[in-house]
Amino acid sequence: MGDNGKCLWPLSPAATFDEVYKGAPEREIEYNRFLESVMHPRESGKKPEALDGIRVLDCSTGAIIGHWASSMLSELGAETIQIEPPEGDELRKLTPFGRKDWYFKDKERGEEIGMHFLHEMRNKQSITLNLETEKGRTILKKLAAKADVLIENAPPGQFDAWGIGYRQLSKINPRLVYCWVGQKGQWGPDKDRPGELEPTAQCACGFTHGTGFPKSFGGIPTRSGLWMCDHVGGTTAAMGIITALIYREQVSRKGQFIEATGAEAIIRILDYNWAWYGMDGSIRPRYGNWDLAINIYAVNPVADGYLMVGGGHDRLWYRIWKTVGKDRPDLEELIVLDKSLRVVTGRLPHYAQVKTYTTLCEWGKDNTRQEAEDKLLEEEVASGGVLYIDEVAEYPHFKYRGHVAVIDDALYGKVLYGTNPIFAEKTPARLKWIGRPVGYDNRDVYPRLLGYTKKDLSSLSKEGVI
Amino acid sequence: MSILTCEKCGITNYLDPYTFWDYEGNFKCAGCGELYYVKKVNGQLKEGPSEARGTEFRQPGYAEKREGNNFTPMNEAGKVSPPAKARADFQGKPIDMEKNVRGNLVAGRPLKPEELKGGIWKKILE
Amino acid sequence: MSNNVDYGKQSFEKYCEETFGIKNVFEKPEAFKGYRVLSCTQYILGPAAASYFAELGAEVIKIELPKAGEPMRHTTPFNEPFLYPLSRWYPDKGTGLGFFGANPNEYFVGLDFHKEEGKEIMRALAAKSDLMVENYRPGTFDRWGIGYRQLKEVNPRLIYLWEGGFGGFGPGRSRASYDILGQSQGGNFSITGQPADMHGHPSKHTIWLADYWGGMMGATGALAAIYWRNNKSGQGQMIEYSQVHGVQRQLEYALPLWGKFGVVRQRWGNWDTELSIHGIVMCGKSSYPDSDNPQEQEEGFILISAYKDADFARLAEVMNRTDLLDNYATHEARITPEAQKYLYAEIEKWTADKTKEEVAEILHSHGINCQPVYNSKEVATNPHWQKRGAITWIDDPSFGDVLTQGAFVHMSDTPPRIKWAFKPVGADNHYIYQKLLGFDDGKITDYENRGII
Repeated sequence: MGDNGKCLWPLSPAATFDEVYKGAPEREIEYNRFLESVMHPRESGKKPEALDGIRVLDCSTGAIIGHWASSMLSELGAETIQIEPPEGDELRKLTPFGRKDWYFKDKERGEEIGMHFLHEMRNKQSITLNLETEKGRTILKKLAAKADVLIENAPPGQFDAWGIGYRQLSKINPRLVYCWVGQKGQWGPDKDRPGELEPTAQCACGFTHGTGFPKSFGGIPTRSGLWMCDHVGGTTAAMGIITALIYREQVSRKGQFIEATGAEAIIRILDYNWAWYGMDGSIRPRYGNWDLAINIYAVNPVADGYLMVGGGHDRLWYRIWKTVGKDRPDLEELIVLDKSLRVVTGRLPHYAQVKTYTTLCEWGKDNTRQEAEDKLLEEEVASGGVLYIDEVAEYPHFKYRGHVAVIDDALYGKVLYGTNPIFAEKTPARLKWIGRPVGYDNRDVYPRLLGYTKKDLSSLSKEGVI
Repeated sequence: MSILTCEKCGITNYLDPYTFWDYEGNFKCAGCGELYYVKKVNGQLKEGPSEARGTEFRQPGYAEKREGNNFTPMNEAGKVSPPAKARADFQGKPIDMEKNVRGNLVAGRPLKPEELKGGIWKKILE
Repeated sequence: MSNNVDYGKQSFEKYCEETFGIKNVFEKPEAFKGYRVLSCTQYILGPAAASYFAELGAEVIKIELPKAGEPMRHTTPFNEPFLYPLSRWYPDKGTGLGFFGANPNEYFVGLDFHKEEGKEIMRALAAKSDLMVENYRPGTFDRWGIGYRQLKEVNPRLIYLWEGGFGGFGPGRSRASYDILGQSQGGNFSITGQPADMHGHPSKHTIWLADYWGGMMGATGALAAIYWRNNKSGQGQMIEYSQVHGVQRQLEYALPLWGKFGVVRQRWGNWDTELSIHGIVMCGKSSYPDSDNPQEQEEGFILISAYKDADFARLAEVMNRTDLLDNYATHEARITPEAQKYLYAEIEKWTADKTKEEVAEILHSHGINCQPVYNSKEVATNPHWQKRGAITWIDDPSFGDVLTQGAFVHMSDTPPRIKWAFKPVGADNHYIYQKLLGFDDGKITDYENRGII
């Protein structure tokens, strides 16, 4: 069932150790041999898992933030059970531009699943449970009694009103770490409205206003192409959860209530926006692909795409212009003879930046990303092209390190995916399976945790509870 | 070429990449206001600068006057495209601040060595 | 919460306010009190990773080059605002706001690893620490004798987190990286921004996302390692985080799409590739026509989220455009690229004579989700964020009345918190070196004079 065998990756094989380190100094090879022996993900499967023994119930549905949080935990070894309504999480249906031919199908049932959801179902079991029924909520209480972590993203107060919120479940299981995730929060004047999704958070936190090109360059506020706040908010949720588990084990012997939101996660990391406003009332403007605080530190067009070049302080600044000067001494001259650009801070005002980047692009227009990168590298300047997804997947360094990998999943066949970036000597994150059809694990989880028989399951299913 | 010196007034106009990378039309010299037609494709100047076509134009992102090794910025408001501004009185150089946006004290100005003794705040308050 | 409160009678919102509200945060315990973290870091990626532990109560010691500090202190938006002094040695210089947000609650000491005494101090500090974060080029600390291999000999429980751009091994191991290089090469850059056929360019995320969030991901790995050490093994370990790798983890469907179907995901501007209507449109009227701030003079923008059929039907009705339902009543019909281009343009006709607040009021009154695009002033002064402590004024002991971001997550029992924004370089030389290594004043002064600390 389904077309599971096909995978276009890799178009060329990954390099070998000898190819990679050929010609490197012996000392460097020695260090890298050590580093690879402890860190390369090819050995990950044999190592212990950091969160082994932790059981997570992910009751979140319809948004990525909760799934991202539980992915972090499941990739680090927690036993993670995704609880879905009997008809499945509606995210399963998402597919770019509605393209049904881009669904994956599992080998057992041939059930369709969108790639976005599949990519975030990693290492999770799927069970169904209808929390809108009294019986379903009773079952959730029983599961929560045996869990360490529960994640949910229902509209504010919904679980509480149903008798399965933190106030109630912490009575049943005082050790439970209970985490609500959302866009703006479950309390406060602008708390989440039912159904709010990313990019609500991006717009509410100041990110979107500050991303994109300035008006004078024809730009408008621009959202991230990703459901970015879900990823960042989900990460803060995972951090809070692991912190609570550590505190539970070492100090308090009890769980706690956590709230993580996409918007506040971004507010926390939105650079200097708040401090700047607080000092003199400045409202951070959009500045396109340039940077308000560092010059050169920008992405600009070159002959075949876009190139990032970085070098704010003197050492790199003059090396960049030396590189440019090899091809175009006239351009180097425009910069290095200009006294106002001789100190780092003199390069930051807007018009200094326009001069800098117009001059740099005058050189860049005659170079491809690779040519420019190679030339800059001769002077030890960091640069790199804006890579499209096919280039990301095939980039030799990423392929060698396993940033991108294919899993040959028992149910979904070969799936290209982004691996978890937490490499570790002893407890690395890893992928064990990519996803599961709706309720696939009912037959395992319910008997194992609650002792339900096949008969129990079929009658619950008939009642619409699972 | 994106860095074009006006024959009439000698001012150098910088046609910034995100406005002019792909552009066909006029730009207005920041010095004398003369309109020049240019056609740029993928950063390359294909035509111009030549006599203006029509009256629409874009402004250069930056302009300067070069005399030998001296560069004098010519960025009078209205002559080049406006900067992305965070405030109306935007200055682009270190600003000494003692009070913040809500009127309270903040350590936003250079201190003298003697001001460090006995605490910064005491000194500012005096 | 005390036990005699009858929570059944207390509204959930009130309960949350009491549980998470900023009122009691400083009276609650800190999760990592008693833990010590060394932050041998510059810029944002490494510093951020350590800073989250500082928020959670760990004693984080930020180690910088003596007197002048790390490079991020010299960056500030458009070169305008600085906080003074940079250090006792440079009272007339300041720290730029680029340093803000990545180093709260930390203790600041000077230390020059290039000097033999500096290396000794480093080893002595590592012996008394739980976590060390560094972001020098791969192998540098190893070469200096203060890398993981050497430090685990003095402290087998030490967790050593290396944060960097391209990772410690592999063909590109020696490449330097920055946040936007991580974004560029990671792939999220190419799928953000207005589409090429709408005169757009790929756009960076205007936060140092790969840095700040990369710090979070590295911290997540370190947290898991602490859990495993404390409860399972008693052992420390080395963790490696590559920021470009982090970005590749968050590409959603882009990689499976390429792998199986050979399609390269492209940027789609302010709309959504998977949901429609679920995008940002322009509202023709500025919300602050009389403001002299160019940011406030701009037109407004608003996210409208009416991807469910019923919501879209209501939206069409509100816009007085029920004719749109003839062809676009179903999500299947609305989600195609052509349909999106058409529909968003039609919606912008309706919003053209309104402010974002006016649109929001109309849509909310009809139960349609929407969110105005706030600028940083609107966020900073928003009662919601202030009440929740997401943005807060603090009386900073070094710099006075500063506005700062709040904690990264809300926790009922051990909430993270911001105590101070940062301090001048070397501000805690006495406190830290005296407390941990028993240096007396004479030795500290001597070492300071010799540029060791």
